[in-house]
Amino acid sequence: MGMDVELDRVTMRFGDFTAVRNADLTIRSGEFFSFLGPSGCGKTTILRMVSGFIEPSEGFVRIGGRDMAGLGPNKRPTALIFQNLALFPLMKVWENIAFGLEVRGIGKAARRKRAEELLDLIALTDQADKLVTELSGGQRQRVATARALAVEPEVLLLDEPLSALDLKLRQHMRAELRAIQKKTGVTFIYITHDQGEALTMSDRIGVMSQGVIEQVGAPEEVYSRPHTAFVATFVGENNPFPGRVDEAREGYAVLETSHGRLRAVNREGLRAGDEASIFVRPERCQLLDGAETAGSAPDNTLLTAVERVDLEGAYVNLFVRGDQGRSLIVHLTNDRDLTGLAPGRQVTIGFAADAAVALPTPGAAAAAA
Amino acid sequence: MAEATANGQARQRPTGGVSAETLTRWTVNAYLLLFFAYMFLPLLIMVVAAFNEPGIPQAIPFEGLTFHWFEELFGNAKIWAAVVNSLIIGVGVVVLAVTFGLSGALLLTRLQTRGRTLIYGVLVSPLLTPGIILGISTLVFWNNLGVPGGLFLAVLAQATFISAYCMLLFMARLQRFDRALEEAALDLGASHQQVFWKITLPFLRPTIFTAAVLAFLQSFENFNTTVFAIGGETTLTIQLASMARLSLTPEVNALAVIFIVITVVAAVAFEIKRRAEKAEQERRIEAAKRADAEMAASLDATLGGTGESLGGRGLGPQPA
Amino acid sequence: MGAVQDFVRRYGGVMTAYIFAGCGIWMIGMIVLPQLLMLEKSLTYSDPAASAQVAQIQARTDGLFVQITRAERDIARLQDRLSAIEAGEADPAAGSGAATLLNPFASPSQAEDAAAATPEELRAEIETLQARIAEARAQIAANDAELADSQAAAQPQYGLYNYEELVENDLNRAIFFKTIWASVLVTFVCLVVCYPIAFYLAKAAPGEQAALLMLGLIVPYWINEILRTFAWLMLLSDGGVINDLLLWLGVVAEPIRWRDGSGAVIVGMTYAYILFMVFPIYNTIDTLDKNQIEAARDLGAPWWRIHWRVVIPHAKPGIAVGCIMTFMLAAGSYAVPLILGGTTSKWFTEVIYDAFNEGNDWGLGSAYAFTLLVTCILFILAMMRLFKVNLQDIAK
Repeated sequence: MGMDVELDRVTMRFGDFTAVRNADLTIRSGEFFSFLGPSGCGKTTILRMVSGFIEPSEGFVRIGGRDMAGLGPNKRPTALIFQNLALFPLMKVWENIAFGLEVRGIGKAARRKRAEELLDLIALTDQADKLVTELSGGQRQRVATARALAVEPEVLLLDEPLSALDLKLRQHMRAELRAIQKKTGVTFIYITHDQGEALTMSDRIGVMSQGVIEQVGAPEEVYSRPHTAFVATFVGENNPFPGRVDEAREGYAVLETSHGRLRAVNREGLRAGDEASIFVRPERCQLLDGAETAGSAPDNTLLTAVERVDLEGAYVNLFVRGDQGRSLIVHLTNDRDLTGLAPGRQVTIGFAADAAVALPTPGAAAAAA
Repeated sequence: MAEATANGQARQRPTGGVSAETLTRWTVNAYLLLFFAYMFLPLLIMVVAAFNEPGIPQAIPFEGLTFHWFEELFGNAKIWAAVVNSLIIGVGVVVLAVTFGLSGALLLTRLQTRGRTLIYGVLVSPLLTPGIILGISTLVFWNNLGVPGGLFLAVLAQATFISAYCMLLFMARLQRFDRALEEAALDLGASHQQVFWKITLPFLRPTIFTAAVLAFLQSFENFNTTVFAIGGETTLTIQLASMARLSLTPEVNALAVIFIVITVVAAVAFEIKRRAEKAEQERRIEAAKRADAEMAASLDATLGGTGESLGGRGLGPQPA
Repeated sequence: MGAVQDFVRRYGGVMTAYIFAGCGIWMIGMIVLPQLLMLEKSLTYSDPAASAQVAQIQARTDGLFVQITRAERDIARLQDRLSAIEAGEADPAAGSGAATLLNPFASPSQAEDAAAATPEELRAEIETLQARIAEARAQIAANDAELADSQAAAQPQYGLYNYEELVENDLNRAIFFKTIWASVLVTFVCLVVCYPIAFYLAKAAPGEQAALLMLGLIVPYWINEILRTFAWLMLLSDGGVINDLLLWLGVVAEPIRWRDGSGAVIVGMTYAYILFMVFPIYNTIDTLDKNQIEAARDLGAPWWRIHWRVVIPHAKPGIAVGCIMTFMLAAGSYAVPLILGGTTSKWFTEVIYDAFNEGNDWGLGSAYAFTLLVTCILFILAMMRLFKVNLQDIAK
C-alpha cells in the first residue's frame, strides 16, 4: 500500500514570482489524486517539490509522515513519470525498466527477471531486447510506467504522461493506468490540464490556478459544486452571468445581471451588495416552448435570440444572445425538431435555481476581505 | 535545380540560340571545375613530384618513377624523432582538451546567470586569436615561473584553443540532450556519479571520440602555436616546415603523400560511418512507425475492452 | 553562489568540483593570465644603452681594484726591505729568492729595481704607490656614484617604449600595415570566390553531387597548411611548374621571380585559408528554407536581388565568421610567409618571431604580439558591427 503525501503550508517562490502559494492538503495513501489546472498554474512545481527536484521556500512536504526536507530525488520513496517519458535512448527496453535496480546494485539475472515480470504486466513480453526508439508511443508510455514501478515506489508521480498520444490511445491508456493503480495500490499523483483525464481517472482532484489550490474534492463534487468562479469555468463548460447580489436568504441568492434578476444556490455565503456571478451548465438550461404552466416554469427565464446551432452528434449546441448580454450555450438532446431554430428567432431559455450556483467575483472578494 | 543557382540571371535575358538554362548550367559547371582544379591541381603536382627521380622536388618533366624518396624518408632519424614528439604532444592535448572542453560545455549549457556570456566569450576567444599569440603568451607566462619552452608548453599552448573546439562540439551535443534523462535517473535512485557515468557520459561518448580525433589532428598539424612554445624541440610539422622551406629533396613530397593518403582514407571512412548511422536511425524511426500502426490497429479491434487486457493479467504482489 | 549550489544539486560534489576546476584552470591559467602577462611584458623595458654603461663602469671599477691590490702588495714588500736595511743587516736581496718563489706575482724587475735602492728611494717609491692607491679609491667612489645613476636608468620599468619602437621603426611599421591590408585582401578574395560555391553546395547541388563535392572540400581542408603552402612553392618557385610551362611555351625568356614582393604569399594564403570561408557560409545558407528563394523568384525578383535581400541577410553570421577566421589566420600566419615568402616579403609574424628568437627582446616581441591581437579584436568588432551579429552567432 502506498504512503500518504502531506503538503503542509507549502509555498514556492522563484525570485519575485510565487509559483505555489500556501498549498495545504493531504493526499491519502493508495489514492489516485489529480492536480488539474492550466499551464503555469504551479501544478508541475508541486510535483517537483514532492519528487525532490526542488525544495519549497516555505512549509513542509511529508511522505508517510516523514519530513522530506534535504532529501534529494534519489532518496525519496517516489517515482516520477515525465511528460516526455525520458526513456534512456541508448538502452534496451529491459535495461530501461531495470535501471532503478541496477543503480541499487542488484545482479543482472535478478534485474532481468524483474524486468520480464513487469514487461508481462504491461503486455510487452517479447520486446525486452528492442531499443526504446523502436517502440510506438503507447509502448513507450507503458515502458515508462514499468520503469517507475520497478523501484517499488510508495508514491508514483505522473506529469501529463499521456499528452503526446493521440486521442484514441490516450483514452485507452487512461484505463490502463487506472487498472495498474488499482492493482498495485500505490499512491498516484497525476498532473494534467485535461479535465477529461482528471474527471475519469481520479479519486480526488485538486483544481489549481495561479499557484493556489482553489478546490479539492471528488470529481462529481468539483464538477457540480464548484467553490470558486475559476473552478466553475475551468472544469466543464459554464454560462456565467456576472452581476451584484440583490438579496440573499435561505441558501439562495438573487443577482441583478444584464439578463435581469436571476436566482441561484448560494453556498459561499454571499451577502446583498457583493459582486458575484451566477454559473449554469449548458446541459442544465432548457429551451422553453411557452407551454409551461406557472408551476412548472423554471425559476429563471431569459428572452434571447438564436445566433447559430452547431450539431455535435448526440446533442446540439445552441448559441443564443440576450438583449445586452453575451452569448450563452445551451445543450439540447438531438431528439427534437431543430428546424425552427433559425438564426435571429426569439427563444426563451430557462433554468432552475437549484441547477445554478452563485459565486463571488475573484477580485471583489479579495477587496472586501 | 540549376535555376536555383547564383547564376539564375540568364533566364531574364534573351540569348540568341543557346537557351538560358543551358547557359546557366555551363557557367555553374565551369566555375565548379575551375574551383576544384584550383583546390586539387597543386596537391596533385606535389604528389607527382614524390615519385619523380630528380633530387629536387619537381613534377615536370617526369623523369622516371621511383619510391626512393619514401625510403629516404623512412631512413631519416630526425623525422622519426619528430613523429614521436608529435605523438606525445597529441596525446597530451587530447587528454587536456577533452577534459577542459567537457567541463566548459557542462558549465555553459547549465549556467543561467548573467556571467554566462562573459565566460563563453573568454572560453571561445582562443579560437579567434592568432595561433602565434597563444604560443607567445604561454611561453611568456611559464617562463616567468621558470619553465622553458618544450613539449610541455607546446601541449599547454595547443590545448588552450583546441579545448575550445572540443567545447563547441560538446555543447552542440548537449543541446540535444534531454535534461529530463538525468532527472529520471536521479529519481530512480541513481547517485550523481551514477547519473554521470550511466546516462550523461554514454550520451556524450560518440562526441568524446570525435573530439579526441579532432583534437589529435589539430595538434598534429599545428605549426603557428607550436613554433613559439616548443623551445629547442621539434615536431613533425616543424620538421616539415623547415624541409619545405629549404625544399632540398623530394622527401617532403613523400611525406605529403602520406599525409594526403591518411586524410583521404579518414574522410571517406568518416563519410561511410555517417551514412551507416543515418540509415540505422531511419530504420528505427520506421520500426517505431510500424509499431504505432500495429497498436492503432489492435486498438480498433478491441475497442470497448479498454484496460481489460491489463486488468486480467496477474500483477505480482509488490514485494515489500 | 546560487549557481554552484545548483550544480551541486544536479551533479553532486565530485562532478561540480571537476566542472569548476576544469573551467577555472583553463580560463584563468591558460587564457586570461598568460595574456595579461604578455601584456605586462610588453609594457616592460630596460634601456639597452644604460645597461651597456653599467657593464662598462663595473668593468672599470674591477680594473681599479686589481690595481689597488697590486700596489698594496708592492708597498708591503718595499716596507719589508726598508725595515731590513734600517736594521743594518746585509742586503737580503740575494736571499729573497724564496720570497719571490712564494710570490709568483711579484714582478722580478721591481725586485731588481729595489735591490739597488737606498732607503730614501724606497720611501719615495712607497709614497708614490700610496698616492696612486688614493687616486684609485677616489676614482672608484666616483664610479660608484655614476653606477647608481646608470643602474637606475637600466632598471626594467613600465612604459610604452616597446610600442613607441613600433611607431618609430619605419620598416616594421610598414610591414605591419602591409600585413593588415594584405590580410584584408586575402579575406575579400576568399569571400568573393567562396560565396557562389557555398551557395551552390547548400541549395543547388543535387544530393549525391553535393556529398561528393563536400568530400572534395573536406580533404584539402584537413591537409596540413604547410603542405598546402609547399604545393604552391612548387608552382611558383623560379624552377617551378608555372615557370617551366611559360618557358616551354616561349612566353617568357627568363623565369619570372614570383616570390619577390608579397604576391606569392597572398596567393598562397588565399589557397591555404579559403576553406575556412566556405564552411561557415555553407552552414548558414544550408539552414535557409529553400521556399524563401522560390517565393522571392515567384514574386519576380531578379537573381541578384534574391541574393541581396534573402540569401545574404540569412548568411550574415556565416559570412562574418568566415571573414573573421580568414583574416585572423592570414594576419597571424607564420608558416605561409616563412615558406613562400622571398627576401622582400616579410610578414609581421616574422618580425615578432625575430624579436623573440633573434633580438631576444621579449618585451618588444610581446608588444608586437599584443598589437597583432588588438588588431584582430578590432577586426572582429568591425565585422560584428558590419554584419550586426553577436558573439553567440559567431562561435556556432
